[in-house]
Amino acid sequence: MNGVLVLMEQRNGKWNRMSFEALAAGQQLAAKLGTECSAAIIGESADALAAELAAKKLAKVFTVQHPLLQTYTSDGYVAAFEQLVKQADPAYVLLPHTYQVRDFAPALATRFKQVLISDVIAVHEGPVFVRQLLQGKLNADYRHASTGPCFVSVQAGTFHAETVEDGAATVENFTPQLEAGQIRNKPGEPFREAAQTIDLSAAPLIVSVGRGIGEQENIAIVEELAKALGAELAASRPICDNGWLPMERQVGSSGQTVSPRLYLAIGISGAIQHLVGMKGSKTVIAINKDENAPIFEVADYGVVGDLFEIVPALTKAVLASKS
Amino acid sequence: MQVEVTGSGLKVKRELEDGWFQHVEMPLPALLTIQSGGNKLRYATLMGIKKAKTKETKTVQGAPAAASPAITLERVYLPEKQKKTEMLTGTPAEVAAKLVEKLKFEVRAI
Repeated sequence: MNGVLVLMEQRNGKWNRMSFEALAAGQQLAAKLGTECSAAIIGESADALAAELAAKKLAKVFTVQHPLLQTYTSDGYVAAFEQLVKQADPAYVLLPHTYQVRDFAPALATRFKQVLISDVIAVHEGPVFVRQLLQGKLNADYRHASTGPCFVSVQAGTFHAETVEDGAATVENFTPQLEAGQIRNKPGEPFREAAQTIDLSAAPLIVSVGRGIGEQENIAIVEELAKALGAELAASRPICDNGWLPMERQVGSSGQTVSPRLYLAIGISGAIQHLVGMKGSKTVIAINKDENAPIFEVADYGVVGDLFEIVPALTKAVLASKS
Repeated sequence: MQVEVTGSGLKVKRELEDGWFQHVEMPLPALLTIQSGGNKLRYATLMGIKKAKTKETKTVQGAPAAASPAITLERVYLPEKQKKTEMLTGTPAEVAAKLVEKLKFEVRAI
């Protein structure tokens, strides 16, 4: 058992960009351990995407292909990756913490009598893997204590895709043994409920509202502030779950990922799922009544107070300074 | 997000990233995790709470683990702050004036 293997994610021939963050994590872990990093791509378009990986500093690039892997199923991916991990025999298997990875990776780890160390935010000497507990209020250090391969998924935005090192790698084909009977779930075509008309990722200024707003009719005060600033209005998940704003305005892991010049968070506590969607913002201003809210961990400027007093005052001040 | 019983198993609606959804059919037994927003919370009535008190509570003994744990938890601690947060204080009007200052000269949003 030796080396690090990164399992990359793609759909219809397009990378999930978080894969390169996992790749950066894999290369850095391999360097720390004095070992080599390899990567694997699964599915139909693996060949086309392998060329890009062949120009990275990797020992090997595995393309995992089989007619039964054309569409994603947890059964198919678990069976195929189980065979690949058995053959490649890595000490560490790294994955991006995407929705798809959450779906199949725990089952894959279980096949090796391991657990997935999920949503890791840092890797220290040891290696020690850091995860967040209680919505980011606490951190916890975990160490692998078994003889099998160690499975780790990394949180979005923790490692930087730009730090992936270039080099040369050999591409190797891997054909898993799969039978149709092994694939128990039947996936339908992915679909969207409404046409996405708002592209928050391109907005330079975003004013975002969270559960602290209390009632749907109160959203108007935040809307007025957004209008005064010429900013797009966004929201955290509970607001969209309640139907107070359309889902397309949701920022976070299940919504859009944004990195505006200004992210003004109003009444947002800052659950991890929300933070991963906005922590790349240049300047973050947070207004919240709870001084211990995790949103203040990522804020440049913080105001602890009653949003119903501060937001109207801010709207007034913004309008006054513009006129 | 939705769970439907079909003849031989389940049909579920899964949420993918970026506003995408997908239906998946599967045989039973199946393990599901439920996303928020799929159901409205149902609060217990006073009668229900009273009735619950009279229900029998079953205790099940867990069998000892067959294998040693695959990972160990070494330390739990408060996260180190990654960003320096400047807290702005004062009356709402004072805070608003300080924020406008930042928005004008640092963020250049005004």
